Amino acid sequence: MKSFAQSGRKRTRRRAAANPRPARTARFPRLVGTCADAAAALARLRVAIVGCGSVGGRVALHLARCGVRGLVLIDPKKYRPVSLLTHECYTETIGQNKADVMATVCRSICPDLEVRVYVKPVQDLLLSDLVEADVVVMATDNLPAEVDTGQRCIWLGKPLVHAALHGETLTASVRFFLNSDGQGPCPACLFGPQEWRDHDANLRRYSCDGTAHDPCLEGTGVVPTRSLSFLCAMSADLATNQVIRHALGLGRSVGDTMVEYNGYTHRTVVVPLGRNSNCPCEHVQYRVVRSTRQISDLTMRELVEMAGANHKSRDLLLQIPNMRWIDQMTCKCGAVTVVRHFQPYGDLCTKKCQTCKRIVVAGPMDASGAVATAAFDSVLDVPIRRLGARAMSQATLRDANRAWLIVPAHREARQ
Amino acid sequence: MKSTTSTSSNRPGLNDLSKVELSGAVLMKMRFAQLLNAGSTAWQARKVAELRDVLAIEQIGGPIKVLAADLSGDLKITVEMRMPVPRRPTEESGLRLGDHAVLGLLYTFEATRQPQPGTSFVYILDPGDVWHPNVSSGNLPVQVLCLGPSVPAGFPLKHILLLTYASLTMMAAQFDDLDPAGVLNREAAQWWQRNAHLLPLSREPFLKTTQARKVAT
Repeated sequence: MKSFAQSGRKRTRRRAAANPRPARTARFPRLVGTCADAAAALARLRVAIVGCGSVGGRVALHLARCGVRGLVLIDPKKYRPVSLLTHECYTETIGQNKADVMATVCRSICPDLEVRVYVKPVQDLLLSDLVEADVVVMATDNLPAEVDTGQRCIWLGKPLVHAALHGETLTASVRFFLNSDGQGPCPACLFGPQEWRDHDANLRRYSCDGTAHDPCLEGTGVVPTRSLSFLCAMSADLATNQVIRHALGLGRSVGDTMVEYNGYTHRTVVVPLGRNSNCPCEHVQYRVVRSTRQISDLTMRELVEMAGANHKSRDLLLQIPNMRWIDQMTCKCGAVTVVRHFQPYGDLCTKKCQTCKRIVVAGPMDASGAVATAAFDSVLDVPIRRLGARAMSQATLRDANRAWLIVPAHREARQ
Repeated sequence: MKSTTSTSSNRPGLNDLSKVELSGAVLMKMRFAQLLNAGSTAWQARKVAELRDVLAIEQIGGPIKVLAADLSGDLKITVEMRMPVPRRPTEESGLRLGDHAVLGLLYTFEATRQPQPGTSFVYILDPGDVWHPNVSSGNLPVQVLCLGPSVPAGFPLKHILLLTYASLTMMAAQFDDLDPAGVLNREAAQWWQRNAHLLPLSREPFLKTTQARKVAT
């Protein structure tokens, strides 16, 4: 008797034999001006896509068909019935998360594609979540997410392709921010007063209990982009073209330029993008340091030395996501209890006062999310794990002029 | 329409704090805090600028006294603010008023680039029984003051102090426990709604020398 699992496997094998998987390069053209291994170059490319809607979703499909190595798909939203008008989706996918659906489709196009999905706003990602990407594509109508993505790309030195459209004028535009040294333009550099007003209107709000309300996610703040399906596809096509041109070095550099196509005039305009000196974003690039050991196994001295910084420097600042450093607590009797421990945000840190024997609870003023490494003098050679930070996927160090992001050399592929 | 700032006296207002020269004990506090200031140049400068504003308010006779300041990581300042502070009423004496509060001000780097919850800046270290709809009353180690549903990115600390003063003196507080933004102490919110005739607790402006802006057309 055959088990269901066995018969299922056999059916899959039979179907695979009937539809053999095409070689990735079967339709890949010999692009003018490229070396012979252009397809191989693409096969090494990892692209992160922020917003997998009518534009970003199509970019994901294009890149999967081009044979890139990996995609990181980021989108917290679900398909709605109205999505049928502009997105690459069908009635069966309504109610499902956009990034999840696109990941499934991309995997079916290219089974060996590495796909990682984040069903949350880009603002909630760790910096290290984008560190493996070679290029970031941004296709969202959420202005706070645009500013945040721009900031992350500056910090990480990742080229950012920003696809946008204006339905009323049949205009599709793609901006390419090179971010080679942190001194170039970013999306926020190009914001005018109206964009900043819209940005502020769509910022998160918090109720007194601390619950965050995101107008963009709840559909209360942002006005959905009004456009036509073909214009979304046009924007996605232009964005993919810029990614491919950059990755393969085709033609003149697309860095820090905007290409804009207008459907009324059939004109395409390419203009350079410039930095705005009043941009509120931090135009500083982090040096990414990969640790062959788990970061939490390192001592503070090793961490700082690995980055090439000086632990005696008085302006060096350490930050571990979701962790706060508690140096000491002061009891109501006035006695000081030394703690020197990391504590996850939200967890209570309690100690017994040695003087009055009362339980002391660490308050917000006893803790610090960013801590000067000078505070670690007495625990410099203790593994960070023993200081309370057991699970950590990144650490950042800052001094006056330099910044480091320390990540593990091998990150587990997560979905 | 063009607006101008004018003051009836030569003493500076909130907008002129950068012109105030720190001296004496206030200057010593500034120098002492700067001994350990870590982070990027921009963040270090921001912390110094925010602390300087707070110290300048103390220098010009504002209702605050800086007790401690720490620039080493996040910006942390402990201030004593002189004002009527509502304390939990007792059956015998009704509402009690304190004459000052010790506040912990916390300003993180994140606050310079992302909007933050209104509860993430001001902590009331003393007294421990503030009776206010926007001040927490649970079992937290300290009471938290809520400044609103969201504080914009980069909101200056001097304005946070101004909001705190207005809030604790009940010049500007949110009493409606049915408001989506909510209140932190529902019992106090309902108590204050029943005792609205006690409001506000003070009509003294934050900086007495600052006159209202005159708007010239």
